[in-house]
Formats: sequence, structure tokens, C-alpha cells
Amino acid sequence: MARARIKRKGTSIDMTAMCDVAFLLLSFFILTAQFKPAEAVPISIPSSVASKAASLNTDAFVVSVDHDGKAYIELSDPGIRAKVLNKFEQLKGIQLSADLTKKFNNTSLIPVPYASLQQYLELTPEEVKKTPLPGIPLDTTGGELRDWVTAALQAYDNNTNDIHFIIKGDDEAKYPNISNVLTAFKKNDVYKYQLLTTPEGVPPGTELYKKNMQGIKQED
Amino acid sequence: MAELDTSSGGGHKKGPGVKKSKKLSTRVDLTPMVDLGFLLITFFIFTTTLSQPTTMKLLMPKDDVQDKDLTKIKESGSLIILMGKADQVYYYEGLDPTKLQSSTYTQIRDEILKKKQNTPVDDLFITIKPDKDATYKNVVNILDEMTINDIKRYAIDNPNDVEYHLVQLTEQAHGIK
Repeated sequence: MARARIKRKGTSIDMTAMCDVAFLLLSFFILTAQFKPAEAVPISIPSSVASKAASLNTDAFVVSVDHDGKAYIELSDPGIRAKVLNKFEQLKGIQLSADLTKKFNNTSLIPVPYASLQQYLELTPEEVKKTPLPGIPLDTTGGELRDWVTAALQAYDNNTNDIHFIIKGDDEAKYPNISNVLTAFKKNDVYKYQLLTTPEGVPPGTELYKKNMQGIKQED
Repeated sequence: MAELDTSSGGGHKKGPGVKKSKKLSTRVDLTPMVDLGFLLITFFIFTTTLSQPTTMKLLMPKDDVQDKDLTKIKESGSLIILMGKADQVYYYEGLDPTKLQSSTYTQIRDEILKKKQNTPVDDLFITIKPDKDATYKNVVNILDEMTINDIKRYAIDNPNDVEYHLVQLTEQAHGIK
């Protein structure tokens, strides 16, 4: 009688090792993930086909315009904030107290005219959420924003390679407000800006699409 | 597959009068846990690389040069695009604003391409004039159209009184608020 039946042994693989590696990787990513700072002002930016990744190495002076047309300044790191505040105070001839200066260096947003800045800095975070933020005054000659830009330029010795000016406008912001922001920049001889936009796919069949397909580098 | 052996081992001493306990093998299947673990990993991998801000570059000319530039625009090559409220677009060629025609953001591309095909490259100049009710999104869309259609010369300006008045009239006529 032929032994047709082959004894089948069950094979159970011990997955403990794989489980360990998986959890190690997970912990690594959880710890290295940085949370985006909560936006004090909700702005939905438009999309653009000409969007490219912004260089993260230079400091950014971001002017946000929300949908009511109010302007706010966001400075990316505490180093810039201290310098800009310093120059701004010199420009205006006013001085903030030492602990308020420290608080300023820790907040990323400038949402009030200079006259109310002291009052704003004295508010606690819960009160800040409740108060309406009037934004920096703008007008057709640039308003107070112009002074902030002057201060920022002086802080960087007029070297526009070290500081990028970014405009983060809301979709529904009316154009005159944006135009006033641009005037504030133009009065300071700044003519290169970046508009914060989300990337958009190029419509097929158009010139830009054909160019991209051919791999021609886009001129900036 | 993945399993933990949690069966009670043979560590119990048999006491007098104690019945021998049945050895129940409790093997826990950990496959779902590993699945969740990998799902979370892939989530974090993807979300940590997506936080780079993307921007679009904009170059504006100096204000004092504008008057000189205006005289160089040929009437035959000029296309003026006006933007009004509620995402309305109007355009006209040359210097006569009364020939205003209305369009939408989807149709404007065809008009721009038509103009581009009909004029020599050096003569083509498009002026973008958003009025005070146009939104930022409209301006970015038109700037995108410039890039999409590869228009080399264009400028952003404010509408003059005649143009603004005509736009207002058209809007009233169509009942647009």
C-alpha cells in the first residue's frame, strides 16, 4: 500500500518581531510629527497652476488677508519678531515694556494696530479667542502695514534674499484690500512677492501642459 | 498568524483534593493589531511630508515706469480683461470700452487663445483690471490663465471711470448683485 498521505505539519510563524518593528516605527513617526500651529484666523487660500514649493530656509514675512479684508502679519520665528519689533519701535519712537516684548516674541500673529498692541499682548489666550481682531490698518498708501514692512526690511539690512514676503489671501477677500497690501510693499521698493496658493493640476491640452510634458523648465 | 501563548502553564501544584484543571489554550490572534499598527504608520508617513507650503511667485513693475510702458502698447494687440462682482468677467480689445463683452472664467481662456493666435507675439499685451468688487480668487484665476496660455506680457491695473461705469451698467442690466 502506497503511502499516499503525506503528513502535513502546521507552520505557525511567530510574528512578535514584526509587531515590535511596526510599533517602533510608529512611535518614531508619532514623535517626529509636528503639529501645525492652530490658526487664529481661518483663511482658505486659492489654488493655482503656477504653485511651487516654497523654500523653507529663508525667513518669511507673511501678510494674511482674511475674507473681510483685514490684514494680519505672521512672522515665522522668534528671532525675526524681536528684530522687527525693535526696528518698528525705533521708527515710531515708542517702546514696549520688557515682559510684553517677551510675550510678543512668543506670539506669531500681529492682528491689531500698534496703538492697541500693548492691550492685545496683555490678554490671556482664552480672552484672545473671544475678542474680535481688527487687523492692521490698511489704506491706499499702505497704512500701518507699510511701517511694519519698513521695519522688517531694516531688520534684514534691506537684503531681500534673506526674507521672503508672502501674501496669504483668502479666496473671498476683495481685490482693493490686496491692492493696498501690494501698495504697502511697493512703497518700500519690494516688487517680488509670493502668493500662498495650493497646487492645482494643469488643464490638459493647454500651452502650459504641453510645456510641462516637454520638460521645459518654467521661467520664474 | 500572530499569536500569544497565554495558556496557563503547568506551574500549578496539585493540591490534595483539588481537581485537575483543564488546560485551556487561549491563543490570541493579533493580526488586526498589526494591521492597525501599519495603518497608523502609513498615515503618519504621509502626513508628515505634506506640510510644505506652496507659493506662486508674483512680480510687479515699479509704479513710475507704468506711464512709459502704456505708450508702447499697440492698440491691435491689446486685450483688456475686467472683473466685476459675483465672478463676472468682461473683456474688450483695443481702446474702445463700449465694445465690452461678458464671459466666464471657463470661456475666457478661449478668448485669450483666440486673441493670442490673431496677434504677433510682440504686440500682445493683456491688461487685467479687477474692480473693487472682484475677489482675490478671481485675480489668482486670471493670473493662472496667463501662465496656462503662456502670455508673456501682462499687467494689473485699476479700471478707469468709463470702464467701471460700463461694468456697473452691464451688471445692473443683467440683475447681478
